[in-house]
Amino acid sequence: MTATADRTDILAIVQEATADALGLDETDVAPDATLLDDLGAESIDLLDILFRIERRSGVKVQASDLADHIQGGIPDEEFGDENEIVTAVGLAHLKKVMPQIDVEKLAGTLAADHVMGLFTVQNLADIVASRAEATANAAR
Amino acid sequence: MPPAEEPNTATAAKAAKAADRTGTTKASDRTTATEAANVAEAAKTAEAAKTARPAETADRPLPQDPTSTADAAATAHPADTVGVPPGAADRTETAGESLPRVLVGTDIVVVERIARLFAEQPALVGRVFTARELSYCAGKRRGGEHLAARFAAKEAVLKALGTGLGTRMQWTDVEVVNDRSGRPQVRLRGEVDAVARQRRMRRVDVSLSHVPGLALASAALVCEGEDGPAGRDRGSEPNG
Repeated sequence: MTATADRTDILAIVQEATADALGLDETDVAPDATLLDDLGAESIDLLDILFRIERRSGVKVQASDLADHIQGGIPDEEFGDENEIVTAVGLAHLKKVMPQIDVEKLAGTLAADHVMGLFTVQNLADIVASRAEATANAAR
Repeated sequence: MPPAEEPNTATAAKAAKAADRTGTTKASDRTTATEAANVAEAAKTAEAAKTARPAETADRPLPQDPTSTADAAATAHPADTVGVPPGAADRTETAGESLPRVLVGTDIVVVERIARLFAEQPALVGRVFTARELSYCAGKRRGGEHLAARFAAKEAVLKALGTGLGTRMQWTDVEVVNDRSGRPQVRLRGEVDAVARQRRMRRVDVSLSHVPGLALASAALVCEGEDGPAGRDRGSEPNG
């Protein structure tokens, strides 16, 4: 199976897990839907979604890993300015994990506590896929 | 862990905390505070309680539990705080010593959501609850509500810490146990305990409440020392 096929499969798994956990129809769970803002997921839902993904894909992603992955290990004081607005450094990293964001539009306005609100189904699938690939490579 | 300070002290300190969060002055600089300012600032306490999480459940109308005990006085009920007599706040202001920081967190859980989660994914139970929590709830007629309240308590503590379920944290790092009188107490371990130490937490108290369908928990953490600038004290304090 190619890496591309894996990624397609994983997106489908993430969509199905999200739909099941939130009690939504799978067609409502578009790849570009944001988990928290659009789909209304709360922390208990995230726990549910991630465990379903783990059972179906064998890839373990914990809720506690997500924020860290998104912030990329950048310290709080570098990620947000004194008003808790995401800095240019922070935005540059966010663009890598959430390629859909419009960095120019968000510059100087994105509150650090709203970052997770931009996190989409596709973004989650990408994280799961890269974990799966890392695991596969390690096993090789 | 002993119970928290008496409710009035905690409430007054919380009002001062809210004032500190919303202003730029440090607690030690503010030796006088007018009654009007106290009342206005205290009204912002609810806001302060919400800083931990963007998507906030506290905005929802919530049926009040008529069976709530005095424990609830230590929780984040805006009306209680607004009702603090000015004298109570003044007493703390003029004590001439640095005020403790009080961090509060609140969470509401839909009982059915918890029930469905564990019915569909029983293997998750052990990742979220400790054996002691499970055995306590298993013996209760309304065990689902008790379990939901415990989940809310974990969430409330994590909100008060300002981390949510942060890196390396496990849900079982916050454990709710009951003392002989039945009063809930919190035990922290692992990464949650480490962050609490960073915050110089000295006391933690929780209050739980549930009605059929909904469970609520509030947590109050009392920490040594003064606030940093609003919101900037997350995990950035020098050594734990």
